[in-house]
Amino acid sequence: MRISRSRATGWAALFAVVSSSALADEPKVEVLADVILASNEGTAVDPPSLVAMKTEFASAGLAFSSYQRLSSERLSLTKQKPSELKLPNGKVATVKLEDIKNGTAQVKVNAGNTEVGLKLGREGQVFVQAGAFRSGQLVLMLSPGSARKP
Amino acid sequence: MTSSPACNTYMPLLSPYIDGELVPGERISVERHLAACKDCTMRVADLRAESGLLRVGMELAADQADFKDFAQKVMARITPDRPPLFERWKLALSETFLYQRGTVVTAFAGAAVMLLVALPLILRERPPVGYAGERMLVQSVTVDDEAHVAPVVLETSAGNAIVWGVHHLDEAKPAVAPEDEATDEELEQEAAPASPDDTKLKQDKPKGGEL
Amino acid sequence: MATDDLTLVKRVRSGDQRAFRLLVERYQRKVYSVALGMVRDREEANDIAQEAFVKVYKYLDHFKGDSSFYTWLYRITVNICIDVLRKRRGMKGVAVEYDETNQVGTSEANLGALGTRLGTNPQKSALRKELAEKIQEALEQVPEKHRAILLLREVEGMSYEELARTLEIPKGTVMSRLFHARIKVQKILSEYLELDESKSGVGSE
Repeated sequence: MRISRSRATGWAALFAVVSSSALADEPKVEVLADVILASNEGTAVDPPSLVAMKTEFASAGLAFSSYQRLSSERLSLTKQKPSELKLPNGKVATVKLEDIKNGTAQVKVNAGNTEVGLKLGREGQVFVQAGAFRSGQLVLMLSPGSARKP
Repeated sequence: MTSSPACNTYMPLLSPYIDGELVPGERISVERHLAACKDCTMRVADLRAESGLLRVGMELAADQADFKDFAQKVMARITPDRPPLFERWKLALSETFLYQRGTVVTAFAGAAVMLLVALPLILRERPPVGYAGERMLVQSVTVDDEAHVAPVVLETSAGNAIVWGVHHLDEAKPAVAPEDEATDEELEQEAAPASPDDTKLKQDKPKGGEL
Repeated sequence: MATDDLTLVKRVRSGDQRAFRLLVERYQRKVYSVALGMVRDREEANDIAQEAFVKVYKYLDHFKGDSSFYTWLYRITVNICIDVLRKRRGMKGVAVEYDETNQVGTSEANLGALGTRLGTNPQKSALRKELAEKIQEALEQVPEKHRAILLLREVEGMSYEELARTLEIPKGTVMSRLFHARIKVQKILSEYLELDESKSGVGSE
């Protein structure tokens, strides 16, 4: 039901944003889920926009040398059932809409052995460790649904 | 006025001389003559004066003209029957882009600024579903009982949160990059509650906060 | 920042009228100046300048691009001027043509008069409206082709090469024609400045 923004004019896009949220009765919350392999094998950063992630991780004390995006998916979360995300290590991560309180979506993320409770917001990202893969670590990166793919 | 025979041969060269149109050989020979001939030096001065006079005189004459409607009138004479409205629009748009890029860029920049100001306002009222909150926040972190990790929430320089598992101390190896000692050390530091770093470190059940 | 002439010409050919407007705005003043110098009538000069641009637009497909756009534009302008002057003269009389092979005689203007009086920077001298008038008057007294070459040289600042292309004459002719034109105008201007006290040898053209 999304109207292509590239084709619509600015006003039409605004209108679409306004009307789509007004018309939605069954709450659906979009979130961007990227799976990234952080490792110390090589220094590849792919796509290059992941340099930001590398910097952030380094600032938090996680000094991986290589960051590679393995998948990127825009999830449409509902309360009914969790959205599943197949990880390359054979495991499955889930993201589920728990509730919307005062317009803020509360989301539960299951990845690896960890369950994370999240409040969605229009800015920022949350990185969740999602288990080992090859010689590195899988990281689930959750971004606002409006975010562009990195 | 009489001129020496030498002057007669040099005179036709004086005009191209002031125009800078002589080949170097000719120029040198003219200059040599000028150094010795007062008359020709004065002739050159006259030619220069006349040239400047003409230029400025015609400038002055043109200054008195009004070019306000000139282009308009020419365009009216050459413009064929007006194309359909849509074609005109299209042309006007593309031409505006071509020739008034500066203006267009300014206009777009203005529009972008307005949008930047207006958009958050609009979105504040009607953000995408579930996005009333400003930032992504980690509210709680729990682990499976059997997992031998202590999850920590690390804050990045950009204010984002990383939920990371740190192996219990009884575990032989840390979870992260075992071969990278620096990383291990830093991680251990992060895991220690007394970390001098202002990185907010929450163990077990970290409370939400603008991370 | 400014788009060059040939690019604009290409745009015009592809149907972009706005590009032509830019060309008009770029050259209107100089084309008008040349026309004014040629016909010495403001209204007529304005008409000629307009006509020149209309013609240029009409025959743009014939413009080969091997010479610069403006030499072509000025050629058209000068030709229109000459037509207008011919019509003005009516059927009687043929334009007095100056023999360019003539050596300039000894009847020069008072030597050094202009230079002494005006210096090389006439902007500094009290050059007023009347002087602009006088210059046009002086120009009117020399043959058209002399007028044309002087204007193109002084107003447009064309090189001899460009003059040759614009007027479609050999470069050697440019040199002598310009020289003769200058000597003539000089005499007239000297007379105006009343510096030639004896008035001897002042051309009667």
